Amino acid sequence: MFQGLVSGLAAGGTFAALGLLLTAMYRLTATVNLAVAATGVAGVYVMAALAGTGWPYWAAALAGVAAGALVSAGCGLVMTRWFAESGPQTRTAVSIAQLIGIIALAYIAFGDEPRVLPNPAAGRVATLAGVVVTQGAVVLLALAVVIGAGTSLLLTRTPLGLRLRAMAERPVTTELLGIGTRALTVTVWALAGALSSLVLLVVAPVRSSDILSLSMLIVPACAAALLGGLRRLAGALAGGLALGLLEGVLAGSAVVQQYRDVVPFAAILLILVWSRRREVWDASR
Amino acid sequence: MRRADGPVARRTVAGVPLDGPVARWAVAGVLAAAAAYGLAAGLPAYWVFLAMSAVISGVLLQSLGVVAGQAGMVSLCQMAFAAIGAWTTAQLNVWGVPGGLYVWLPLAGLAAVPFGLLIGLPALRLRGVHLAIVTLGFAATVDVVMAANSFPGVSQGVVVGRPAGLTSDRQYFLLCCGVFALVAVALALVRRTRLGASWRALKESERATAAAGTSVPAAKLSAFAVSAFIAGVSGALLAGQLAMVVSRNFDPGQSLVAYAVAVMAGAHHAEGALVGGALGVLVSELLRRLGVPQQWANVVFAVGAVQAMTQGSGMSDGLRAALRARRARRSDARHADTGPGVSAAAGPEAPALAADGRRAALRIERVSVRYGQVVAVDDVGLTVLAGEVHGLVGPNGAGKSSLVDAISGFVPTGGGLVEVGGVAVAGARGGAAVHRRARAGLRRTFQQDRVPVGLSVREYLRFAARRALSDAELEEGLAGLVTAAPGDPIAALDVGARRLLEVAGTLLARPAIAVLDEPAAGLGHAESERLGAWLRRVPARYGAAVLLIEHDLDLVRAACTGVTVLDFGRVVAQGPPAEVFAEPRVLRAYLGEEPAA
Repeated sequence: MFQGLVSGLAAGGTFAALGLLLTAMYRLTATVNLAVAATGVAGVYVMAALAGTGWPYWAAALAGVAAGALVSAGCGLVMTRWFAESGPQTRTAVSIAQLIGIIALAYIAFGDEPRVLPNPAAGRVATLAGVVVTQGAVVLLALAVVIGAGTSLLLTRTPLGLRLRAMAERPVTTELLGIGTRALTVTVWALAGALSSLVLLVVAPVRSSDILSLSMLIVPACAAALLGGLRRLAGALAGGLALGLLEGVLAGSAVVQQYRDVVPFAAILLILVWSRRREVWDASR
Repeated sequence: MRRADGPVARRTVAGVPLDGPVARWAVAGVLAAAAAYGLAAGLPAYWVFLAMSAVISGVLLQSLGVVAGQAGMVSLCQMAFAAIGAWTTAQLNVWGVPGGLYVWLPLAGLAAVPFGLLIGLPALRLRGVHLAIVTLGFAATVDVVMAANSFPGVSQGVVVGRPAGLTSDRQYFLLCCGVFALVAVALALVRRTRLGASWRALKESERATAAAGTSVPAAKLSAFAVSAFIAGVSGALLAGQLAMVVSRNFDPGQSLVAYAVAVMAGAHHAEGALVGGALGVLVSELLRRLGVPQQWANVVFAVGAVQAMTQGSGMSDGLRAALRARRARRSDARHADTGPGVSAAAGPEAPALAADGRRAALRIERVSVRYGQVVAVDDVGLTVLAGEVHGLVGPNGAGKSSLVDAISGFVPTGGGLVEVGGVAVAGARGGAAVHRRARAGLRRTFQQDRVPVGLSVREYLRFAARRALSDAELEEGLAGLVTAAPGDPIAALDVGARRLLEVAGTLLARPAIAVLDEPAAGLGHAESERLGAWLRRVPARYGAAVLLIEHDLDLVRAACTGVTVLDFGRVVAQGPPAEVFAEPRVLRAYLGEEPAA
């Protein structure tokens, strides 16, 4: 049991970090960016390709993060250019199309053979209950906290955050006030891509090297974000951690091990149906 | 649904000239059958296999056309439904269930239906983003389960057998075409029924759908059930085509791609689904020949879907709009002399007013609406007699719309009583659902434009009236109110016309009471005057009483025999318009402190 919890720390950090990115992007850009994990995957593969040609790891990783930022900024550009006034449903559908596009381009550029990814944080930090806590787990948890705290500060303490929130909630009104934030919004997208790349650089070597299954990390990330109602950062952090720990515990039992990926779906369903049980109608009036 | 194909079908046969839609459909059907047979006989074997794949994915896209295209709900798990269909087929094959694929196909579809309903249930509360996440999660889950348990027969090397008559790929291709056509025709028939209209109405507004007397949960669940059935059948077809399927054939990535292709091609029309399926196959075949990686196809579809979303419509919509424009030009030239004109047919006989003539069409008592601490409607009582046009006026924020929401069932009445034609629809122990009140004879319109743009004028009026309407009745219902022909798509009407169309549909339903929420908003002065005269005649023409919520006091004076004034959620005056509008309290409520005029 306790062993399971410890081994679920890395997954928990991953889900929390990605869930926080989703939440932050929803509040700052009014988009549920289902491609956020995929942009990170693009970063990971750029790193792997460069490292394969003899680049030192840190330089390749840096280039990977930059690539992730670039891909995400491209997605953000499409979103702000053509869908600035579309409803959330259309914007989600657009991000689905972007997800497909990124996965396909990644397969084209990097092939679909599984590859060994260099692990930047393989060292052990401590041994708890006979389970090794890797540096990766600690880094992921730290990343989650940093993303959460950083977003929270940006949203509540800075004029920039205020502008971005205004832009996300009432784009037309904000522009009528003379605040042009399209460039800022694209910057938020780029930043999210870079952070997602960082997360995936750490998690990919220990989880999977398959482009599709890494991109599908979006499912548990969504579950985490929904625990916070796509608005509360603390909820997303706690939700991600809880899901990861749960996955770790389930992985300990051979019977349910192969079904552990079902957990996020069940969690999503329960959370959503409960939190939106009063949403009988589509419009408020 | 219930009576739709009786009168509707008879009239389309009897009333339509030989070059009408029936003949057109027959010609299209014969041509399609000939084309399918020609392809099966003439294509090289390799291309027959590809064409088969195209048609099968066309069937899958039709399933998306129902749930996403028509009903407007995001579904990212169609491949999961297909996988369930394929799994069922493989299992039936292992068990050796008699009848072969002919029997297995519908059974596979039926096996997917419970899962469709399962996803439909959360869709009763979840929309848009949330529904997308849930369906994506479901797709991932089914993938995990299918990967953990290999398909029946795979480990023993048992292949899905084809029955006699389907053994060659050419024969199987014809079966796929037949299934595609069957699904297309069935969906085209459903499209004409109220069920089909309810799906498209759902896409526009759930509130308006319920207010038209249609159960929103039933519409949503039926859309998901039908969609899952079709997707399940497509999975079974795939199992028959490939003889052995594995979970990789149905990975969640493909559900995403299917959604993108459905958006791009406009899969809610059969030709869109077919074009989408063909594109999928052709693009990947082209890439293969050019030696370009297959994944480029998905890039193409992703870009195509984004492009379609910037346009707001898929390829099939563009095609149909172009065809309609061409047909309209031709028929304009032919019917130039007929002219519009009101139908000469005798107007519908208004049902005689109740013997006493003074029965209450709507009676409400002690209705209160609270939002948290705010009391929007405070203990309001109001009676609209049969045969009366009653005005409900008051300044902004007086609680008029909240009262209408309470009467029609969107918010609780706070224990207040609502009676329609003497039958209680809400009381101390809660009230009936919105669609039940509508069916009981309480109809309402909305301030917002909530007329479904996916319907034609005729389809909308039949949907709203909940009965088959003859063209004479349609013309009669539109006459003097909206200048639109029954065949016009609603998307082509301006917002003012749409709202008047909503009024027409509401009254064609022959309700006991029609609650019209600011029907004149956005109309010019002359139009508004015309509407006033028209509304005055409503009780005599339709036997319906009217509760008119309106800001335009001239219109209220012209149309109403009685008026109720609300201010701060309370009734401040009630009576004939001339008296009420002279009262100082009313003037104060409207004009501030000075009762000058």
